[in-house]
Amino acid sequence: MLLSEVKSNQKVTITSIKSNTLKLHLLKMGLQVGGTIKICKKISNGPIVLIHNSQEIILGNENIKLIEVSVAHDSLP
Amino acid sequence: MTHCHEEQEQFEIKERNILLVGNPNCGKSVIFHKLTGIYTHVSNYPGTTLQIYQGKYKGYAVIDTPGVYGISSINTEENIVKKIILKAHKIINVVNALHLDRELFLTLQLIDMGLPLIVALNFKNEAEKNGIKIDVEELSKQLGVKVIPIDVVKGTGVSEIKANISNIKPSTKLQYNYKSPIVTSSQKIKNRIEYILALESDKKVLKKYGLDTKISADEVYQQRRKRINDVITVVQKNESKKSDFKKKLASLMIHPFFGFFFLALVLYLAYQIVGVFVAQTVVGFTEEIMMQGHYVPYIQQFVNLFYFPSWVNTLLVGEFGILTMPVAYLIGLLLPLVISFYLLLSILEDSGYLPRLAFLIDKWLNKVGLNGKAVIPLILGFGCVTMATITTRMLDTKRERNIASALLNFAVPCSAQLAVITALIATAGGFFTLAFASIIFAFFVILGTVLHKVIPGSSSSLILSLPALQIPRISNIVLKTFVRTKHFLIEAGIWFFVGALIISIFQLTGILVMLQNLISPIIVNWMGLPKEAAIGYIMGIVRRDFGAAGFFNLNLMPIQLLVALVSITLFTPCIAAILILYKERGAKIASAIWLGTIITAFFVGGLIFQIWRMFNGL
Repeated sequence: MLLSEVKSNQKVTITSIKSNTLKLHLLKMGLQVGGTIKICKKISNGPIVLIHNSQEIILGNENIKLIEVSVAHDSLP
Repeated sequence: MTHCHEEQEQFEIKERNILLVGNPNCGKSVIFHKLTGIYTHVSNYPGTTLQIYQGKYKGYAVIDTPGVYGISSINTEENIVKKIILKAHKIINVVNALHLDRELFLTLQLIDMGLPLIVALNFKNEAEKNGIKIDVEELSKQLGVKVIPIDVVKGTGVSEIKANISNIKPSTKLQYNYKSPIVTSSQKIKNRIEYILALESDKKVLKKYGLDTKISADEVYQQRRKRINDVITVVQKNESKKSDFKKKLASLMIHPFFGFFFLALVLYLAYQIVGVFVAQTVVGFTEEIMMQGHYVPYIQQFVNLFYFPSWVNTLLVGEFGILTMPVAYLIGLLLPLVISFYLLLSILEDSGYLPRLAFLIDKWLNKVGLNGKAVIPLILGFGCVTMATITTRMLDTKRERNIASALLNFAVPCSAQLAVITALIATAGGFFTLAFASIIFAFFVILGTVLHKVIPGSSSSLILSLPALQIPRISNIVLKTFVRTKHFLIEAGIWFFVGALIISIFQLTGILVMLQNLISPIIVNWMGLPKEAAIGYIMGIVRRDFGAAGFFNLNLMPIQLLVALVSITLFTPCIAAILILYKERGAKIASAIWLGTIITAFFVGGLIFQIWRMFNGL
């Protein structure tokens, strides 16, 4: 599923990032395919705030439509 | 000071230099201040440093660079920082301990390039409070460079950095060999920096060596990320900490529903402080008692002692005299309001609230072709449109920078103008105050929507790292307010005196009456204002706040106040803002905005009056 479809407080694992530029940018910020994130806040048809390794990142609606995720089974702090 | 823009390709770098490099919001500018004594704005949001600052420390040129996550050619900032780094003599890599995994990407990139550096590990204490423990010695061992824990707030560790500057060296670790599809062909590149850049698909380097430019940096980045994860596993221990008040408040600020209540509370408090207490009580004292009650009569009496010819008296202490009007406006009216506004703005900047606001209103800003990040220049525009136009550099595309610049220069009143407007519109009552705010907001939305439709291309989607919420430091708030107020007084002061002088000369030579007659069909028939209101617009060409202040003694009716204040808000930005606009956006866009503001101001102002007349039969 797409990251845009994930609900608040859900933990997901990134399975693919469709844009190469976004992929490289997120890699620099510490987010990569296989990484587990938690959706902290979400605005309907708007941006999300995700938590990854205690870092909070805001991603806009267009960006989250480019990220595919699956529900995570591991635990996050 | 140089602007972080295309022209910085020619940025001159001295041979003996120390570069401050790091991710956004990691504390570089504070270290720059401690080393050079030069103050640059420090705020709690990513992208505060948009200019390259240069100072001196013991024979070294110290250069503060904008924050970047890496030095590829993905965006303008990274490209510019990359060019400066290529000429680096010594590097202080400032690293935020709260987000070590993110920050080490740039560190490893610098190490891979064989550049001489030390790591200044900032916010270590803050990290420990958040349950993040970092083994500094082990980190130093893993990276092969000296790591110095610092605390920019308390100033600790800076002396150790100073003591180690002469020992800054490349990493002692063996150079890492990346596996990449172009590694074999790129091995003919002897220069280590160019070799790494080629591996990271730097098109310029790849072209230079005749290599395939279509290969992605993906693989190399993934390998670097893996190395970072390995380092983090060894040096960092995380303990779970209970959510404290700060975290709960931060969460409330970005709540899709309660976040807007919090915003309303912030705006209400700001209005009560600036619009009610300062604009009425404080300005009542400074303008009416201090200036009109004491200073103006005193200076008039003093000048009269010299028996100057009457035209000299008019120039000095007449209706627009350079010793009376600009001083009374600047000191009595604007100064208290500007100081209070800058104080509030600094508190908002330093608390970390602005990036949270960016999240809340991103969806709405998308509708005018911007993303949430644009809230930062737009809010700063209420302080000073000139500075805010420079801040639009933090936006990712030229399209967004153009839209934001247009919105700022058309529809965002600066603190000084807002101060005069607040004081004036309050006399017209609640309905007209609400009408004023609604018209300006509607104009903002319409203009943004039109620009979004008309300007070709697309805007970027938001990516922003949220800084931790923090209690603003009083020393930084005071210093920042002082620097901004000083800048305002110098810039506005000069133009106020020039404006007053020009108006006085116009008054003496009869040009003022001629100009009033010339534009009176627009002012009187179309906008329903008295002929004398033309002076406000003539003064407004110098500065909009100066123009707005010109409406003070006209005894306008509420509808006339609304027309006058809406039109002067939309009127041409101050001369300094126009000059910056020409520099930042180019002659074509700046000229279009300048001309557009004048036409729009008179058109919208008149339209309000005509609609009012239609319904009220005036």
